[in-house]
This record gives sequence, structure tokens and C-alpha cells, in this order.
Amino acid sequence: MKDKKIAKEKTAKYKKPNNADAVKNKSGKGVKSKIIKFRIQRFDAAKDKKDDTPRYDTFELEVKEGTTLLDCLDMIKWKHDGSLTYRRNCKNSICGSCGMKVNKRTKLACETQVHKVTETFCSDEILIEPMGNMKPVKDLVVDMGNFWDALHAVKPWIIYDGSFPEKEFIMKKEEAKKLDAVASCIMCGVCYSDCNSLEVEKRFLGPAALARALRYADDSRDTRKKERLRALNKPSNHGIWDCTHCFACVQVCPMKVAPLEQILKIRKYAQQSGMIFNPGARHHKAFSDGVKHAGWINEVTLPMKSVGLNIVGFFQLAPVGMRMYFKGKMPDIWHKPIVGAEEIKKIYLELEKKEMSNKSDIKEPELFEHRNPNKE
Amino acid sequence: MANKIKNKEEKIEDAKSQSKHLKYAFFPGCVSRGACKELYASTTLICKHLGIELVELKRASCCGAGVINERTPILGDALNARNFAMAEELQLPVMTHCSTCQGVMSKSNKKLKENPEFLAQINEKIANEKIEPQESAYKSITSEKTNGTGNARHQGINHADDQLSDKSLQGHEGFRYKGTAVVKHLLWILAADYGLENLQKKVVKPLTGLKVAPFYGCYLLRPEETLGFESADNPTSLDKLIRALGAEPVDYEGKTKCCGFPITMMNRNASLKMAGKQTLDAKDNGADCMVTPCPLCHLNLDSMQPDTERIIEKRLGMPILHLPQLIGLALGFSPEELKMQTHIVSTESVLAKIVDKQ
Repeated sequence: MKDKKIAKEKTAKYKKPNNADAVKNKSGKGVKSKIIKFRIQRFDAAKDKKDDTPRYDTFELEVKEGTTLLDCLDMIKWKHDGSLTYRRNCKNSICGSCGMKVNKRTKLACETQVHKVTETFCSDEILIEPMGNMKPVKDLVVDMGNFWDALHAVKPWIIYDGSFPEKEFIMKKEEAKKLDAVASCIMCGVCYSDCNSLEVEKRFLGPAALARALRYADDSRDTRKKERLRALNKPSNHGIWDCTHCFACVQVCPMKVAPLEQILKIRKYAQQSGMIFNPGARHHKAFSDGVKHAGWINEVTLPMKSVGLNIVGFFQLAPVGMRMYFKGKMPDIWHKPIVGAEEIKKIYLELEKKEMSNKSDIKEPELFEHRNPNKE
Repeated sequence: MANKIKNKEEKIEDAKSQSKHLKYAFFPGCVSRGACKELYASTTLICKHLGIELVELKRASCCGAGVINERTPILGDALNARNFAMAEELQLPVMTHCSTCQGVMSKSNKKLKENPEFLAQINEKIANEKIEPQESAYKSITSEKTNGTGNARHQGINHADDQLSDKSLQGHEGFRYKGTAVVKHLLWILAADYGLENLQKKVVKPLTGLKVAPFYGCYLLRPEETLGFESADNPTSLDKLIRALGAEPVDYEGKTKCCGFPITMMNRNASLKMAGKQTLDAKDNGADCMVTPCPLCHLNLDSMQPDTERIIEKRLGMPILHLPQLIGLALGFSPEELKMQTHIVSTESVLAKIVDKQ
């Protein structure tokens, strides 16, 4: 291992790949085909030092339209380089094994069509890297330990303290329906890989685990909802309040679980249950109150109300306020109400209290329809 | 025969130029009237210059910024439905200049449009709420000349557009949203409605040699299902706009990532690290400045930059420009008119680079 690692570029030209399975148009006529370069990150934790700059191997394949990335990787492994390592299994986006970064965006290789990627990025070269926020083990295989630890931390099982019924638990249809979205999660780690918060906060539980936490908090058979919410709400546990609203998880989830939406539901439940003594909930209350009274946010009092009675927080805020004041960026101290602020207050009085006590007569529709593998 | 064709062509040209008169219901949002007043000033300035007519929705409330919308989602949708109803009355598409407003409003609009029953219930809550206003609910920002003095925020804003406002307010029964509003960000309007080739024609001071890092952020891109203007994987509108202004867009991984602002109160350290990561990424890729279509990104990238530098223990000194400020520079406006002196991180290095090239 004395040799300095130099990016090894290997070119393997292969005409007419024998992957007829992957071609949708069985007659093979009129199917577009082109040469595509795959630049794949190579790494071996057993041999390579961690601080090595990543190595990349390049393979060229002639790829027909409709071919998936997994088919191409198989082709490379079987025909050109047997040492290329990646996880694969069902080829049907059910097992959740083949998550990897495709041009820096995490996707399941089995449902990613190569031609579509080249169209989106306007380039016939595709960069393949292992998933992010997890340690690479070999080539495209990562150690998902952190992911499973986070999942375990939210106690993903039903805890029931009452006396058990004689036969089975009876669950209403609408109660069961609540759990559907998260139940379709295949735990592939794609959301965990692209999570913006995790890139800077390793202790954050991440989107998949938090979505799963909602599934148990929402289960009518579980008797520890409050305890669960308390744990997720605690800032030192790095649960719901570390999510930065970047929507990356909603965008990349192959099953349309919309993890962020589930995290927001937990935040709502926590505030509804009176868990309001933390910066997140204080911020939300102060924000909402500002709009209630003047129709728009009060940026002067909002930061102060969010940190609360907290001397460290005050000393963090003070310099920001000072420098904004001296640059003339400070919002007006007098928070002038907008025209029609009274109307907004009326809407608040009508809706806010009912919603906070979970007694609203309006049912919020679901925005995202999750994928149901049983129906496909 | 040739004449006929020529006439036809002229007619088409006429129709084109007529349809080019763009008019929007302007939703300024909270931050551009508070901590980022320079955004309001520069947006109204460039729109006026480009002949884009704006009628400000003065009566509109905060969109909820994702905060009201997660604490009390139905209340959030009601506030947005009320704002949409105002634009509907004016029969104008809504223009935002804040990615967060855009993201939140697009999401709310989709929910209201796709669920008629929900929309009807929300309408019950916002109807009969209209209280007779003390002053006009709408103000028009037209292309008329300005008085040149006073607060730029009030420059060229015409309160006398009573025709519009009064007609819609007389005998009003309250707001009712029919579900037809369209919400567009300034960036989208310039890229699609106005056209970048038309914008390019208006450039008098090309930003040649300036390397600009586009910071798309989150809310204009994700999720594609609710926004859908361009690919969330590989957005190009801001890159193309930068090129139209004569500058060179910088490609870097952080351009579609989060600035960290939403957790600034919950996990300050992580928030600043996130801002630092993306800024450093832009810097390492040779950017002279970053440009953002979102005032909240601006707050975390610019106003918090001294704190960020302390956290990541690296000097950044990266000027952050609002989208209309960068455009304004290329259109020949002075940095003072664009209120660039109010930034926390000095923009002198950017201005020096532009001046050098002239």
C-alpha cells in the first residue's frame, strides 16, 4: 500500500449489451440507445485509508432507453469488473437495498432509468457514489448502523399498558388508515442519506425514524403516546426540532412517505399536548401571536420570545441585533398592523383554539399520496 | 403575397408585444417589510424599470412561513385562501419574491385546489370577515416616474389606484376563494413570463467576469409535486439568469441545499454550520458572491455570517445578494438605490469587480 492512490480510470467498451429483460419494447425496434459513461466511486474500508481522496472508475456502456441503473451496474459487475460492490435484491423498489447517490441525489438504482438521468442533467456521464450521512464500507455499500440506531431509539413497537382483550384489538378503519403512509416505508435510508440536518448534526434522529415514531404515536393500540411525544420533543434528544424543513426527504422518498410531513404532525401533537417549554414551540407560539395581532410577523420580539429567559441566548442574540441596527436593517420597533388586521384576528379566534385543542370541525386533507406496493 | 405574410408577421409581433404587458398581484411577505427592506426596494425598482406592473396586496396577511402551517394547518390554509381570494378579485396572478412564501403558498394552494370540500369549509371561515378598510386595500406600483426622494419603499407606489380596489370592495360580502389563483416567484416570472432574452436586452452594465454562485435553497424546488417549475435534481433557471446578466454562474453542490435558517432558534450551532458549509462550498468553487431568491436565506447567510465564521473557524467574507439586487446592478442601478449598504457583509468586492470591467 505504499503506492499513492491515483484515480484509476478504466474504460470498458461494450457494444450491444445482452440485457433484453431491461428493454421495455420487446421487439427491440425503435428503441433509442446511446453510450453512457458511469463514473463510480471505489473504496475499501479494509485497505484504503479514510482520508484518501476518493477513487473513481469509469465504465462505458451502450444503454437502451428504459434500462435501469441497477441493470447497468449488474452489467458492469458481471462483464467487466467483478470486484464492484453494491447492495441489490428485489429489483422492484420493495427491499430498499440499492440506495446510492446518482449525480449527488440519492435514489434507488432499481427504479432509476439511466436515460432519464442523462436527460435531467443534460450529460451522458453519470456520477455514482455511496449514500451520504453514513460510513462507506466498500464501494457503494455503506454502514447503516446510525440509521438503525435512530430507528431503535424511537421504540418502533407498540407499547400497551392496559389489560389485554380476550381476542384481538379492534381498530377502526380510519384509525388504521392513519398509519398507512408510514407503513409503506421500506427503510432504504434514501431520506437519511440526503437529509440536510444530518450533514451538520450527527445526533439528529433523521426523517425515517421520526416518521416511524409518528406511526406508533398515532396507533390507537399504543398507550404511551405522551411519553413518546415528550421524548421526541426534548431538544437534547435531537428529535423533531432539529429538522430544517429542507424537503429533501419528501423529494427523494421512493415510497412517497413524505417524512417531513410526519415530523410536522409530531410537532403539532406535541404542542397540542401542552409541551410548549422549548425554543421550537416558543418560537411557533410567538410567531403565530405576532400574526394574530398585526397580520404579519413581529421580527423584533420573535427572537427574544423564542429564546425565553435564557442568558446565553440573550448574549447570542444581542450582537446580531446590534449589527443589524447599525446597518439600518433592524425592523421597525413599532409593529404596525396591516390593513384588515381585525379580519385576521377574527379568523384566528374562529380556528386557532379549536385546532390547538384538536377539536377542529374541519379535517385537513393529505397532500401526498403514498405509494402502496400491494396495489401496484 | 409577400406583403400579406409581412402583415401577418407584424400582427403576430403586435400580439406578442401586447401580451408582454405583465401585471401581478404583489405579495411582499413579512421579511421584505422588516429585516430585509432592501429586497422590497430592489424588487419594486427593477419591476418598474422592466415594465412589470405590480399591485401590492396590502391587506394580505403572513403566509404562515411553514410555522403557522404546522402548528395550526387549517388556520394556515385559511389565511392563504384569504390572500388568494384577493388576487382572484383583481384577476391577477400572485407574485412573490420570497422562496419561503412561494413554497408555503404553493403547498396551501394545491391542498385547496384539489379538495373542493375542504375549500368550501375554509371559505365558510373566511367569508363575512371583511371589515370596511380605513385605507385602500391595494396599492399600485406602476411604471410612473418617482419623486426621487424619501424612502425607496414608497417610491413610485401609487395609492390612487382606487378603481381597482374600490370596485372590488363595494358591497363586498367577504372573501371567497374559488380556487383559481396562480402563485409565481419573481425568478419564475423573469425566466418564463418575461423571458431571459428580453431581460438580456435591458442589460446596460453586463456583469462580465463576476462569478456568481446561485443559491436556489429549498422552497423553490422541493417537493416537485407542489412547486413543479423546474427539476429539483438539476435546476437551471437561476444559472441561466446569471448568464443573461453577463456574469458566470458557479456550479457547486450546496446550491440546492438548506441555508439552516429554519432551525436558527432550535439548534443554533447546526444552523450556522449549515450556512457555513454551503457558503464555504461556493467559496471553494471560486464564487465572488452568492445570489439568493429568498430573504430568509439572506438573513442566515449574510446577517449571521460573522457568527458562522466563528463556528466554522474559517473566514468567509462572502457577499450575499438578493436576486433583484444582482439584476438591478446589471440594469444600471447604483448600489445605493439597491440598498446594498445595509448588508452585514460588505459588497464592495463585488462592486469593485464590476467597475473594473467597465
